[in-house]
Amino acid sequence: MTPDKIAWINQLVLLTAGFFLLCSFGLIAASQVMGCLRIYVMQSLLLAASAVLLGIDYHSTDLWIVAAVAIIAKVLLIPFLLRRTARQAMIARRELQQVINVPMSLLIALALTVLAYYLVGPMLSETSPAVHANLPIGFAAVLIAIYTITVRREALPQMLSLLAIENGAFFAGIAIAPNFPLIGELAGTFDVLMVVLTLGVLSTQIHRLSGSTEVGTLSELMED
Amino acid sequence: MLIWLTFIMPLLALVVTASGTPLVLAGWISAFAALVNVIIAAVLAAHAADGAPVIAIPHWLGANAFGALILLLETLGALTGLIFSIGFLAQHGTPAGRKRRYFIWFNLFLIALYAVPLLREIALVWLALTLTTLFSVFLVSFERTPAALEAGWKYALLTILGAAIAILGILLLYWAQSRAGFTIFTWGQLRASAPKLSPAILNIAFLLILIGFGTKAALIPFHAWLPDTYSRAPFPVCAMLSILESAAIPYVLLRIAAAVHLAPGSRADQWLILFGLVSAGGAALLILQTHEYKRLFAYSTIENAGIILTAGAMASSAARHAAIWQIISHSVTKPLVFYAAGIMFLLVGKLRISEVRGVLSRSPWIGTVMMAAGLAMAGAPPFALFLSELAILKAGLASPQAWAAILLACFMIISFCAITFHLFRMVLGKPGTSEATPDTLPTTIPRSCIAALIIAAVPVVILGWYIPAPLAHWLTAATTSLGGRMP
Repeated sequence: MTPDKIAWINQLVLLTAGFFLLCSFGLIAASQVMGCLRIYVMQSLLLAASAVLLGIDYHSTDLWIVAAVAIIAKVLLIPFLLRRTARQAMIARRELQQVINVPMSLLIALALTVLAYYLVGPMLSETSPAVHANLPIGFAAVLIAIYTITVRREALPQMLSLLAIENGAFFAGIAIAPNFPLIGELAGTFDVLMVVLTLGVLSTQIHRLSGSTEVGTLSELMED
Repeated sequence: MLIWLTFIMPLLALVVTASGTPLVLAGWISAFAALVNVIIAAVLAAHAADGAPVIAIPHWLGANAFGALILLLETLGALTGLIFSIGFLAQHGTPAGRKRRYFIWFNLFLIALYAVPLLREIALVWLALTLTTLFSVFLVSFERTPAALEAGWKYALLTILGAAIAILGILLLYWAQSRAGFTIFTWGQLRASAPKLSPAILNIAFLLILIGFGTKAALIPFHAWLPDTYSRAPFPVCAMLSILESAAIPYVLLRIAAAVHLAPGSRADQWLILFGLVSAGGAALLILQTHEYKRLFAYSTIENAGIILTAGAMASSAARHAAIWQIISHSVTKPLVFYAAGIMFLLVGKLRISEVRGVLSRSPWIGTVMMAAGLAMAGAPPFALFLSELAILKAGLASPQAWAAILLACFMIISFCAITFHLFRMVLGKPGTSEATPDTLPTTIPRSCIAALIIAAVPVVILGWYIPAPLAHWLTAATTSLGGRMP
């Protein structure tokens, strides 16, 4: 490849990383379940795009497979399963509840992004531009999604945040471990699939028994 | 071949259960499979302790001395857990279909649990640990009440959250290795490459792995899922989760730390000691203020996991020896306690400590058994945990981290007093009028529950007196496999 082309790909990698981080913020700000799901799908698409670009960059066919698996599982299968198992909760047009309001949450997410850059900083010496873009942003996505889980009160948004953590971990992973034996990526995706199956089943059963998927109201077992 | 058989046995039991065999028979076949696995694990431990690890597939599947020992503890727990389940389910008023699924999930859980000490690729160990979560979610929410579903939900959400954090750490670990030119990601390679790895990456990677797996092991402050899960899960499931948290996960963490600490500038040991002490101390305080006896036992499991991690990270091979000894004695003691409590629950039908009074006067033998099992868990002589805790304190005081050993001693004393206080209130005391509802409760205790109790009690009593020669040999070999450590 010509240096021109490499520089061009690196620009695209950076752009994808930027949009990926934006999706993490979007997951906090979304006010309805469908919105959360759309943002999650968008984020997964960006993960696949980044994997394709890095696959060209690193000459790694493993990453192409990662991209394919991400599109099949995260863009197609998971949204389909979620719409099927939790249809009612999905299309309900009501505001999601948050413990902390959205502007405050976005500020905290910004602080978490800075923290991610601070944590990752010492690792970045002598690394490629792709690692510079993906590693801190993957870290930030993980931190922001953990925060989102703690402030969301309902089962489905919590589950989507959990899936976003997985996205963040693999967004960092594709840059740092492009030659990782494929089993690692398969493991991650397999995991996500199982998560959706089990949690999906569980969340619908919670729905049936208590009339809503709001986990916050299920406080019977609080330690007193 | 033996290693393959370890997975084939529960798989066969699973097929038999799923194919519609009568439920009790399916339960006994599962228990028989576990018994075969105990024998296999003992043979594996004997082979592995004699030197080279037993390998089934190079780089993928095999057992070293430490792994085989952990496998032995897991299979022992599975054997008694399955036997106890047979009687426990017979008393339970759930539909037969769900009871059948219970045995299917139990066997699936066992396959994943056995895989943890046998896999040699670290990413696959992570996969096996994640699978233990997925398969046990159904066991935890077995009752299908809203409270049980809530417990299952919290358990799945938080432990999978931990798994996602751990995989990031594992990918970082792989990155550090591949930058140093190593491409195979096994335990042995990690150890060989550790001195050449970048400490900046290793430290963050180990911290992420510790937090991720620590969430799975319910180390404090990542224990939010634990009280609910333990108070809703069936008693044999609690026993298996305890083994997972205080044997399988400390095994993984200690093995990673044993390799990572070889890198110059690694802080793995300090972090293990810090998290271990926080968990041991926090759990001791939680034991003081808890209201349910199942949660009391759960907090005691965290305390022991903390003690094991602290002792395992001390710069003294005697302390590591004692830490593995503690893994053994805790893994044989905790199931016994849960079975005794399960039998007590069949008698009284209550979970809150304040609602259980005078067990001894209502049934002398159940009261005596509960008292003995509780004292064994608290670390009183002449039971297994007493000797291993004493060994940890002795080795810890002689190590450079004597301050940590002194703190551990304080936490052990606090938890001992707290456990015996709650125990005496339940077992002794006068039976009140409010809880006297014997009509609705079964009057006979199932024979298989008693059998499980007796089998589980044997190692606790024997290890309270001495360590039999073969086991002592395996223990030493397991300690050696962790390697030496700079003071």
